[in-house]
Amino acid sequence: MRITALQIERFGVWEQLSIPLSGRGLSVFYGPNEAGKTTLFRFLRSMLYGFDPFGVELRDGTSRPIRFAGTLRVDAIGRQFEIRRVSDRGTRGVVSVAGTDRQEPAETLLAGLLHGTDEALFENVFAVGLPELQVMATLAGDEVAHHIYGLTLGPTGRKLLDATAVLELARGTYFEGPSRSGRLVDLLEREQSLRDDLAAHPSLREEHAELSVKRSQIENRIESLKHKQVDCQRQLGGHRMLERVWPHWSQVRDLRREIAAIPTVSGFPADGPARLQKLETELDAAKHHRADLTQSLQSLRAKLQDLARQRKLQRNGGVLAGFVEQSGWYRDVSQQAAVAGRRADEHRAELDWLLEPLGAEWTLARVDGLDAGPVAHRRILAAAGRYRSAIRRRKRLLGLQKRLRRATHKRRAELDERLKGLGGTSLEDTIAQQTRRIKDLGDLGRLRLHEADLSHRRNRLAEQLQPKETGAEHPQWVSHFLALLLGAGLLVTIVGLFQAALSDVLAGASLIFIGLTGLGVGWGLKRHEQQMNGAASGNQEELGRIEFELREARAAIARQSASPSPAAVATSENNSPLQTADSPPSEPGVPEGDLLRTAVSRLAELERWNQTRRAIQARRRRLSELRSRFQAVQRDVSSERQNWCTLLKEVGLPETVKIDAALQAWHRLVEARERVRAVKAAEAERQQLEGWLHSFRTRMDDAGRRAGRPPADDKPPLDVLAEWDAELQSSGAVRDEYRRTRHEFRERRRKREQVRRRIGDLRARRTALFAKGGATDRKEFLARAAWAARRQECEELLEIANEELLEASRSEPELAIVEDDLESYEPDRNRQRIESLAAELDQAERDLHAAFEDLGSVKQSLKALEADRETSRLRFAQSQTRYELKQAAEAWFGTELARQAVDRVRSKFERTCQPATLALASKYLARLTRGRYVNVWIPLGRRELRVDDDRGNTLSVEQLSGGTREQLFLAVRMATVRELAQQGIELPMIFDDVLVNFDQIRTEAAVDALLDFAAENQQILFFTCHLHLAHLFESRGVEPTWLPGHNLPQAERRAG
Amino acid sequence: MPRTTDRRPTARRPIALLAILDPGYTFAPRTPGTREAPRMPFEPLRFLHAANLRLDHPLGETAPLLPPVASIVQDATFAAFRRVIAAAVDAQVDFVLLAGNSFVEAEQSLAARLALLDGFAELAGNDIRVFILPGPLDPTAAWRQIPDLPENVTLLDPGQKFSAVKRDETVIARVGARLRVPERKSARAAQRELRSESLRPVPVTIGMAIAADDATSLQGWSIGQDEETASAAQATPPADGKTPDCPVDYAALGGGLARQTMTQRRGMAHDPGATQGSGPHESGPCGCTLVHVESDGTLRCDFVPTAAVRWEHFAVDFEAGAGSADLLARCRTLLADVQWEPGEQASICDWVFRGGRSALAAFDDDLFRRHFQQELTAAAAVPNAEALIHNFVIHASSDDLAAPLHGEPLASDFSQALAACRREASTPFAACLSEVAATDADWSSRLESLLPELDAESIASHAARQGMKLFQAAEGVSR
Repeated sequence: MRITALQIERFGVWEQLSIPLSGRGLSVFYGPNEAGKTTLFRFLRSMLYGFDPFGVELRDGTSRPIRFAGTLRVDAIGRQFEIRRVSDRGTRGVVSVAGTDRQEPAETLLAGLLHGTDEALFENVFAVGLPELQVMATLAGDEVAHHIYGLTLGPTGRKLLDATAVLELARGTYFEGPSRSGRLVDLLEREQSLRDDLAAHPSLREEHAELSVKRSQIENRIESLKHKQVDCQRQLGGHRMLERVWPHWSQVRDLRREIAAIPTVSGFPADGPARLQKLETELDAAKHHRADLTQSLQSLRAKLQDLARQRKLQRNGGVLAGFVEQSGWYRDVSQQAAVAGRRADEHRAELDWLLEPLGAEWTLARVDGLDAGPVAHRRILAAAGRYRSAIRRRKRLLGLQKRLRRATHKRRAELDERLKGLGGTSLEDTIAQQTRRIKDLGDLGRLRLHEADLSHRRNRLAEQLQPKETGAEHPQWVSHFLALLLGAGLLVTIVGLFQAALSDVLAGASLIFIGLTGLGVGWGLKRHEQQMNGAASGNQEELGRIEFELREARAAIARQSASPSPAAVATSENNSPLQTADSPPSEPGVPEGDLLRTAVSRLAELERWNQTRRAIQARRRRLSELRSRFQAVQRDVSSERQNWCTLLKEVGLPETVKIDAALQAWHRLVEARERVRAVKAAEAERQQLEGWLHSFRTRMDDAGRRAGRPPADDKPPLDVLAEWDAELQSSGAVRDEYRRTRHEFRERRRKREQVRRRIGDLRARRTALFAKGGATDRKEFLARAAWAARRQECEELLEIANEELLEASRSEPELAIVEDDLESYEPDRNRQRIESLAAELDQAERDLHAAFEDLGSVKQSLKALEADRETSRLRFAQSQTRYELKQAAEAWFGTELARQAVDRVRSKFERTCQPATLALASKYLARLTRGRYVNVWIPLGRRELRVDDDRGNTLSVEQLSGGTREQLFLAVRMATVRELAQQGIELPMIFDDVLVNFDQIRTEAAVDALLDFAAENQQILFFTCHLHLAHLFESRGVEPTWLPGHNLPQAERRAG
Repeated sequence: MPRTTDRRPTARRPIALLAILDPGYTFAPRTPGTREAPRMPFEPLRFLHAANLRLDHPLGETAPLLPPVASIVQDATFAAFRRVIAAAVDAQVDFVLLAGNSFVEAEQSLAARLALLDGFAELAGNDIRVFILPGPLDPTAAWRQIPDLPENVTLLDPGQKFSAVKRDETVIARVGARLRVPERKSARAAQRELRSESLRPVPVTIGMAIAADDATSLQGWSIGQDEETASAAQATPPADGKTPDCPVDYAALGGGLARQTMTQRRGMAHDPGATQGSGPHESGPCGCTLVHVESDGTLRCDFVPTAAVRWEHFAVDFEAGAGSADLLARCRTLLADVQWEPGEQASICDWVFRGGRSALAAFDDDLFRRHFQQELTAAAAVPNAEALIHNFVIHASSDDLAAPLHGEPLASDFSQALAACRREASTPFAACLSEVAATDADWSSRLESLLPELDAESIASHAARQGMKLFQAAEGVSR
C-alpha cells in the first residue's frame, strides 16, 4: 500500500490541509517546531487504525467534542482507494473506503488493505518516532519478536540448549558452590573427616613404646623381687635348718654330758631289773591270787550262811504260804482305799472350785454349818419369786404408761398442727361453717339449674322467631335490575317499532317479559312475609317474660357467688384440706359440683379431727389411771425387796437386790455343802481300809522275822509276798546249792595254802637277786639298775642323735653351719628372725603378685593397642576416598570440558544460525554504521540482542552508545519491514525525526540507506524539523514538502 | 683368600650372567667356554631377597569394596610379609635381605612395627639373620627408633663395612650397603693365596641398594663387569692410591615398582619388586626372590609369590563396530593368559577400553557392565572368584573423537570443539578451581594437589562420552 495523497478536514492544528505525495518512495516533510509534523504523523496512523479517544476542545471556556475528519488516497493491489475517517463519539471514528465495489464493511476492507497487521506492529515497526526508536521494549511484542527473535529455536538450537542445561545439571551433581553440595563436596568432606580422625587418633607407637618401657620396668621389678625372694628363702632355709639342727646338736651335747655324769656300775646282771620285775610280778600275782582266794572263801562262806537261812524259811513255810494266799485280798483292799482317797480328793477339788467365787470367808466349817435344808431352800425361792413378780409388774406398767403417753403426745401434736390451719377458729365453729357452706352451694346449684332452664326456653323461643326475621327483604339492586330490564325492553321495542325491525321488537318484548316476571315474583314474596310477621307477635311476649325471670335468677346467683365464707378468711395454709372449702361459693371457672364435692370431703375431714380429739381425751384419762396403779406396784416392790434382803441375811448370804446372783450363790453353797459331806464320807472309808492293810502288814512282818526273812522296810508287801511265794516254790534247789557251795569252799581253802607256799619261794629268789646286783634292798638295786640302764640308753640316744644331726645337716647341702653358730644359737632370736624373713618373703610375694598384675594390665593394654587397627582402617578408607575423589574430579573436569566444548558449538551456532531478519538487520546496521558493527545476533533461548563489531567483540544493547543503539533498532526495523514485505505485507514507513542523534557521517549513511531502502519499492514518509536533514535529502534529489509554520494564520495553514 | 682385581674375573668365574626376566630362571653359565677356567668355589647358601614391604600402607586405586574383599585388601601387606617369613623358614635360608621401604615412616604405623618385630623374632628363632637396607620411606632414623630390634637384625648403612655371615665359624657371605666392595689385598698376595688355597671357598659378596636412588651406584656396579670396562678400571687406579673396588657378586636392589634383573658377566643385579602390589601400576604377580648360591658359583633366583591381592591391568583397543561378544572374547583371552598364583585371595582387574563410540556408549549401561563383569568373572580361573573385582575405564581415543560423525553435525561440531578445547585451553579447569576456591580455599588446594595424579585422557574421555550421550544417536554395542 502506498499513500498518494492526504487530505485533512480537521485534525489537531490542521484544518483543510491537502498534501499530494510524490510517486517516489521517499517523501520528506520539513517543518519547524510546532509546525504540526507530529500531528501529521499521528494523523496518518489514526487514519489507518482509528482516532485516539481524545476529542474535547476547550473553546470559550467550555469543552465540547472535536470532530476529526480526513481522507487518504492510497494505491494498493493495482488500484486506487480513498480512505475516509470521521471521528465519532465512543468509537475510533467511522471509516469508509471508496474505490472498490466489494460489498463488505469498510473496516474489513481497510484491514485487507493493511494486510491484517495490528496497530502495535505498525506503531513499533512502520511508524516510529524517536521515543519508540530509543526503547528496546517496542521490539519485544509478540508479533515483532516473532520476526526478530524467532519463536522457535529449531531442533538444533533446542538440542544445544538442552545440552547446556544437562551439562550444568551434571556439573552441579559434582559441585554446587552456593549450597556446598555435590559428590565432590561429599568426598572432600569425607576425606577431611578421615584426616581429622587420623589426626585425632593418638600415636599408637608412642603409647606402645611407653607401655613397652613400663612392661620392661615391671619385668625388672619382678626379676629383682624374685631375687629378693630367693635370698629370703635361702636365709629362711638357713635359719630353719639351724632351728632344725640345733636340737639334735644340743641333744648330743647333753647326752655326752649326762653320760659323763652317770657312775659306772660293773657286774650288774644284764637283765637285773627285768628279772626283779618278773619276780615281783610273779610275787604280786601270787599275792593277788591268794587275796582272790581269800575273798572267794569269804563270799562262799556268806553264801553258805544265806543258804542256811533259806533252809530256815522252809521250816516256816506254812505260815508264809498263808500270807501268800491273802495277797489277792490285800490287793483289793489296797485298791478300794486308793479309790476312796481319789474320790475324797475329787470332792475336795470340786469344793474348792465352788467356794472360790464366794470368797475366802466361806470356810469348810462355815459351809458345813450352813442351813441348806429344803425349808430354807423353799423360802429363798419363794421370796425371790415374789420380788421378781413385783418388779415385772412395775416394769410392765411403766412400759404401758410410756407407750400411751408417747402415742397421746404424737396425736395431740398432729391435731394441734392441723388445727393451726383454722386460724384460731375452734373446730366446732369450723364444722358449723362448713355445714352452712354446703347448704349455700346446694342453693346455688339449684339457681344454676333454673337459669339453665330459662335460658334454654328463651333460646327455643328465639329460634321460633328467627325465620321471620331472616327472609324480610331482598336486595335493592334486584328491583333496580328488573326495572332496568323492563326499561331496556321498552326501549328496544320502541326502537324496533320505529325502525320497523321485527327482530328488535322481539328482543325488546323478551326483555319486557323478563322484567315484568321479576317484578311479579318480588311483589309475591313481600306479601308472604307480611303474613308471617303477624303470627309471631304472640311468642314475643312469652320471650320477654322468660328473659325477666332469667335476669332474676342470674342476679340471685351473683349475690350467692359474691358472699364470701368466714372460713375463707381463716384459711392460712395453702396445702390444707381446707383450702378449697374456704373459697367463695362460686369461684370463677370452678364448677359448683366440684365445689360441693370438695366441701363435703372437707366436712368429713373435720369430723375425723373431732373424733381424734375425743380419743386423745380418753387416753389422758387412761394415763391417769395407770399412774395410780404404778404407785401401788412400786410400794409392793419395796416391800418385797425388804423381805428378800432380810431372808438373805438370815441365810448367811450377802445382802443384794440381784436375785439371780443371790440364787446362784445359794446354789453354789448348797452344792458345796454336799461336797463337804462327800469328802468326809470318802475320808472315813479310806481310813478304815488303810487300818485293815496296816494290820495285815504288821502280821506279815512278824511272820517274816520268824522265818528269818530280812525286814521288808519300804518294799511293797505284795512284792514281799511274791518273793516268799517264789522262795517257797524253789526250796529243793536251795538244798542242792548249799551242798555244792560247801564243796567249793573246801576246795578253795586248799588252793590258798598252795599259793601261800609259792609266795615264800619267790621272796627268797628276790633276795638272791639283790645280792647279785650288789644291793641290799630293792631301792638300791633299782638305783644301780637305773644307772646302768641310763648309761646304756644315753649311749644309744647319743648314737641316734648323731645320726639325726648328720641327717639334718645333709638336708641343706649348700648350707654350712659352724659350731660357733650352734653355740651362739638362741631359739627365740632365731624364731624372730625366721618370722621376720617369712614376713619379708610374704611381702615379696605380694609385691610380686602386684607386679604380675601390673604386668598383666600393661600386657593387656599392649595387646589392645596391637589389636587396634583403626588407624589402618582410616588410612585405607582415606585411600579409597582419595581414589573416589580422583574419579569424581576427573568426571567433573570431564563434564566441564564437555561444557566448554558445548559452549563453543553453541557460540558458533548463535553466530551462524540466526533468523533471516537478523541477517538483514546486520546488513543494514553495517550500512548505517559504515561497517563499524557487522553482526546482529541473539543468544540461544534469550530475547537479547548482541552486536559484534568489526574487531570481533560482542556487545549487548546496554553496552552500545545511544546513537548506535538507535541505529541498531532502525536497522532491525528496516529488516523487519523488508521481511514483512517479502511476506506480502507492504505498508509505508513513517519516521518522525529518527536521525537527530546520528552524527554527520552516520546521518548521511542513514539517508543513503533510507534512499536505497525506498528504492526497493518501499514508501517512506520522513518528518523532520532539522533543516540540514531536509537539505541533505534535497541534495540526494528528494524535494521536501515544506510545511507551513505553526504561527501562520489559519487561512494560510489551510492553503498549504 | 688373597685375590687381585685383575684376577678376579678368572678367579670369580662362577657367577652366571644370564638374562633374567623370567622369574624362577636358573642362572647357568652363559657360555660353556667361560666356565672352563678354574672356578672359585663358593660356600653354597640360600637367602631370601624381598623389597618394598610397605607394611600397613593402604593399597590405593580402588573403589569401596565389599567387606570380605576390603578386609583382604586391608591386610594384604601383612599377609605378604608373613609369607616372606614363612618362605624363609621353610627354605631354611641363611639370611634375609629387606631392600628398602619395609614400612612407611610417615604413617607411624604400630601394626607395621609389631609385624616386623614378630617376623624378626620368628627368624631369630630359626637362627636366620636379617639385613635391612633403609629406603626413602623407612629411613635409617626410623629404624633406629624401633626399640628392641632382635640381635639377628643388621641395619645396613652405606658408610659401614660389609657384614660377614658365618656358618660354622666360616664366612660364607658378606653383605653391605654398597654395590662395590674394596679389594683389600694386593694382587700379589692374592696370587699367592690363590696358588696355595685355590680350592678354598670364598664368601659371596652382596651389595644392597635402592635402585631409584642409587642409579649411580648401580652404574658403578655394572662398570667392571665387562672385560673391557674391567681392564679400563684396572688401567686407571684410584687417585687416592687405595686399592680399587670391585663389584659385588649380587646386587640386591629395592625400591622398584616391578621385578627386574640385570646381569653382567660376573654378577647379577636383581630387584624382586614389591611383595604386594599397591595398585594397578604394580600389576602382575608380586613376591620375593629365593636366591640359591651353588658351590660352583651358580646363582639361581626362584620367585616366591607372596601377594594376597593380585592387580592386573589390561588395555583393550577394539575397533569400531566390534560387538560385545568380540570384546568379551578378547577379554577372556587376556584373562586366560594370566597365571594366577595360589596364595592370591583377591584379584582386582583394571580394564581400559579404547574404542569407538558405540562401544563406549554400551558401557554407560549399568546392566551391561554387570553382565560383562559376570561374564569375565566366570571366565577367569581365579581361586576365589567372589573376590575378583573388575574396574572398567572407558577411554575414547582422540582420533575417534576428532572424526566427524555421519549424520550428526552437532556431534561432529562437539568433537571438534572438544579437540579445540584440549588443544587451546591452557588451564581448562581454572573456572572449576576458582569456583571451588570461592566456596572453600582448602578444598581448592586439595583439588589442585590432585591435578598431577589425574588422567587427562580419562577426563577427555569423560567429556567425549558426555558429548556423545548428548548429541549422538545411541547405537550401542550389539548385544
